[in-house]
Amino acid sequence: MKEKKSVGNFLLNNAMIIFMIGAAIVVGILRPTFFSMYNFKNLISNTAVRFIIAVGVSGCLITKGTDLSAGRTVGLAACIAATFMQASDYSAKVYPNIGELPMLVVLLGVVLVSVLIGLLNGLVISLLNVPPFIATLGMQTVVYGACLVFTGAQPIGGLRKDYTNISNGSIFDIQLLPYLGLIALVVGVIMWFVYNKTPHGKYMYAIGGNENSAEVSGINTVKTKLVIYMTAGLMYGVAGFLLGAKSGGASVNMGMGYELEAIAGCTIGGVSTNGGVGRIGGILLGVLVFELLKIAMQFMGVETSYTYIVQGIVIIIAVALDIRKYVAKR
Amino acid sequence: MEQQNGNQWDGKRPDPLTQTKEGWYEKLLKRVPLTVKSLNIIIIVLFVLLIAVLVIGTLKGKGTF
Repeated sequence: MKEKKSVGNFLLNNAMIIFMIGAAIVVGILRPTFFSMYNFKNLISNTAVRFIIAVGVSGCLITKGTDLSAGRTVGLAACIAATFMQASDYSAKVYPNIGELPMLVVLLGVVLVSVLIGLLNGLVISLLNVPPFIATLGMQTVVYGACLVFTGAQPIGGLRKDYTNISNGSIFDIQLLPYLGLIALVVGVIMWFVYNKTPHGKYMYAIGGNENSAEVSGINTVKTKLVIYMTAGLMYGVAGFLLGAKSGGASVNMGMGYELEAIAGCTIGGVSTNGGVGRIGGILLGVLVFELLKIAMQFMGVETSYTYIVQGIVIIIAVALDIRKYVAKR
Repeated sequence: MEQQNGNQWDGKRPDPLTQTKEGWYEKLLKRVPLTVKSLNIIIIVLFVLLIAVLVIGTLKGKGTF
């Protein structure tokens, strides 16, 4: 009886993942091209960028926070990267006097800007005690404004081939191993190590479990939160750089709504919005099945307007399932 | 919500401090407490809604099953 109950609980707790995989299998049967090599590469590339963003947001969620500026920061990072990675012979180059900069320099610059945004978020949240929801919502608008000023609301194109090759290329020309997937894998392994094997990771889970207890037991909560939001900024910088290469250009609307997708991926993957719980493997699974559902909807020809409703309901169900776990534990 | 003298507000008469009556949300929470069972029902309803939107969206988008 107990075993039956635990199987039922497992199925209910992972209902969202099971539903999405089931939906993908149905779509695969109805549309055989769904299981093509090209589609898998597309899925891996899409998942890679969003996984990096979700890993950044996960740190905030684990400490009972959130980061609504994630999408806009990714957009700004993509715009900066695209601006400085334009081909020198491109007629509409934003800065024609600047020659071709090394890719690593541009990446470092982009990451530096994103980390600064994360630092500002962290300072406002941990020092001024502003609720993360409000602080990062304000930062979202600030970053969007900054992006508009930086780009002059003009799309940026004419990117260098070595830059766009990051997203087009694959290891040993094997379609299933795109560079983006490898980069996401490396990021995932590093963050797994940070979350599970370093004092910072332990502090993060402790703050999420009970911030007051963590503070009393000697954890510097201000410093830990600062590092969390700066790490999130770092992730957005990397993701924005990759997104620019993947899209072959950038505009101010880039990254819009990505924060919700990241939060959805995290929640589906088992990161609790009540804090203190979340694993890197779970986040990867959550983001992967969310992307799988989006691609499955494209293949089924679901009208675009309805896809947003579906994504919204998926997020609500994921949070409801998370609350259910919390209530069941009480 | 409590009155200043510490007595429990019964919710039926308007609160003397805020002049408000017990709202529909308070009544709903009393009738449907946040339990695993009530959450299961909400989640099932949401899943049905999700499937319905997927089906309607596919039909509207002229996709076929």
